[in-house]
Amino acid sequence: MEKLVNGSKSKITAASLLVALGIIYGDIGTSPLYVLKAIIGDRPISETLVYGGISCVFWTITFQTTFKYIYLTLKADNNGEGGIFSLYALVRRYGKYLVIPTIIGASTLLADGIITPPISVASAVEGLTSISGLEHLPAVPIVIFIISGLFFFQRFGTHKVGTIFGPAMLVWFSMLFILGIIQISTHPQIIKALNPVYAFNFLSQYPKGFILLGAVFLATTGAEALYSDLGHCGRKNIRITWGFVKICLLINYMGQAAWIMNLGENNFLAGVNPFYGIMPDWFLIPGIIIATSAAIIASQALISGSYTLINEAMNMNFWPRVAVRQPSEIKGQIYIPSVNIMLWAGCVLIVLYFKNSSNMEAAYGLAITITMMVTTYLLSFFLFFKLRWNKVLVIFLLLLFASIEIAFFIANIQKFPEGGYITLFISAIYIFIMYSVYSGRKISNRFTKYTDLGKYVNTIKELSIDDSIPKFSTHLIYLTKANNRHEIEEKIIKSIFSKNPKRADVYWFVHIHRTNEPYTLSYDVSELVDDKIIKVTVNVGFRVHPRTELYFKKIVQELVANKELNLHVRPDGSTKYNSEPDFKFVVIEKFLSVENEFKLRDGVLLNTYFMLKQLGLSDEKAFGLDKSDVVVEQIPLVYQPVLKVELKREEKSKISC
Amino acid sequence: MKIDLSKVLYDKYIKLPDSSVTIILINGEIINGIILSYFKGNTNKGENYIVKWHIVDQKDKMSFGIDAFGFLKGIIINTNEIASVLFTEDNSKIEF
Repeated sequence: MEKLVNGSKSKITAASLLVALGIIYGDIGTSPLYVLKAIIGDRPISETLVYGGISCVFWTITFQTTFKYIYLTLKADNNGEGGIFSLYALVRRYGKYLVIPTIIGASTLLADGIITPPISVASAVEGLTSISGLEHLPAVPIVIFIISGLFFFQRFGTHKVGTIFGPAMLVWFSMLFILGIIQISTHPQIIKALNPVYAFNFLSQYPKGFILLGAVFLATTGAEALYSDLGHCGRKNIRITWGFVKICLLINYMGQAAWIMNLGENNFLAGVNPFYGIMPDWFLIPGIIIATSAAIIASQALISGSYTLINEAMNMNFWPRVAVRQPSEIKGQIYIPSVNIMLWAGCVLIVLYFKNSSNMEAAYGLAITITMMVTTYLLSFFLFFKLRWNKVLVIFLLLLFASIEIAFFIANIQKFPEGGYITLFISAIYIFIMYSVYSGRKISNRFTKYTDLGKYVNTIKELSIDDSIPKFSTHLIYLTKANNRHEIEEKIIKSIFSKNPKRADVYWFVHIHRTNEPYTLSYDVSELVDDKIIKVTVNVGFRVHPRTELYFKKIVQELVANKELNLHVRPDGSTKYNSEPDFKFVVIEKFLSVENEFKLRDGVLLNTYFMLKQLGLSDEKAFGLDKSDVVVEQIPLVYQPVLKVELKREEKSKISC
Repeated sequence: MKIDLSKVLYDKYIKLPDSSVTIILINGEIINGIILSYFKGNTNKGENYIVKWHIVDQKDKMSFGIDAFGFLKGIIINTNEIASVLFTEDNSKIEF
């Protein structure tokens, strides 16, 4: 039987390989636009620099992309899904504090994502300045226009244009290959650059060669995105297409290097991007069009990846709940308006601030090195605990990749004053948001008390048939966090009995259980009292946006159709005036009581958590409940009550008996 | 003691997977549909085991018996208005 991975068959076909080309390689595939330009920069051309740079690029792609990501990390698929949160979901039980690196890794990945669309599109558009007569063309407005258009069209989904992504990227990689091979033929000695000795000489002998690793690293920044997109295509498709992609990329890098060497030793690039330098003049315009298309596809992949990441963060309680829309029927394709605006604003600001791709290169890559280090760390848990690899081998791999990535990090940290601080600043904001939501929720949950439902069964039954109390609804549904089928929150019991008791024919307690698998959607029902008290547990995967009301209705319909549930429970029909059953949800929301005195840390975390909660979706919307059927009750969260109140009674005041 | 045919009808309804029925009322009216639900009677007060039946169209089988505005879908029939019930699945008939 064919295994379905996120709606796509993992079976290898020409079509599936083409889809993989279009989705997976946008980021890493557009690196030739800026890598060699960043390595050479305004330095004089020399064999040590060019050969060494190419050698470093080759070995970086081989170690980081091929070995670490394509071979090792792709093993860590969570029911076909990849990415840092999927990896965390696989290993979180093996380490209490794994949540911290996960938050840091996801935040840095998101932050670096803000530079990917501007740098790719700017590098492509700047090619226009290579055309004579267009040397002074202002690229900034064109880049902003393209990026804004891209973000505007997100709301309509990519299901219609998505089909051309694969063929477009095939054209792109073919172009990289052909342009590269033509240039290699003019300087075939460049193949010698694959010898690691050149890389060693570059790092040890070239002045500040080690620092140039920051530019080399740009060749592998897309590897993390490649892992995040695993679910779209399946491991086999990625591994097969990577062979083709890697050859095209290396041939192009070497072609660019050959072209640079042909300029002559001690000459300079003089602002020319070698990527466009290797193009014949007649091919410049079609080349720029193809490059811009590839840059747009790369940006699209990045934007979709950011939606997925935030959606996962939300479902794993790292992000405040925000509106998620599904622009098409394609499974997993989502659109998050607030993230769209946030990314668009970030990208436009990056373009306005850095103005050209060379300046962006100076900032790009710093944050993603942190993500890669986190992935290495989490991966070692996966290899050791899940795949049960030998401890020595796992430690060896951990040290190997840690040393490579730490080296890249040290090289990249030089980018801090040149613009790297921006991505680190954005990362810090994301980390603060994620940590506040995670901790705030944890503290809030600490104050949730559970009680045995069995103790209240008889009282609930009595209340249900007590005609002296007006009926609240036929079916009354509470959302509960209690995993245990016999338990519910104490606040629910208080809600049923206190003030105005809520009389209903059937009491439902619905628990949304978030699973570690991405696309689980199942339920189980247990009837504590026949047709009176029913507990439903809906198992929802961490990539699924919960639609509680829809699930609940579906469950009830199935129970009614299977004759396991009777809709009309009252012995005498229903009310005097109607026979229709009605369903009412009660959502109990916590708010931070003013009667709290916090320590600084707790105060900041809880206030941020509740503020973000207010800015985000309300609980009823977040759970996909129809407003007309929902009653929202608010209860205060008293975390640290005010103990010292200096309230004096006036001596003259008296109460007459 | 007179047999409570509503209980017989209920047992049959629960037993058969397909609840499609043709009901003939005492007034001669014929109703085709499926039994979606029922109202239990209070047997302590001498009522039938089931006092009312909720019948809906075949297409509304997977529903709550109410529309989007909360109005009833299908009809409610009192047990004592039924003359006979024919179950489509096994062609069996209960005469009241």
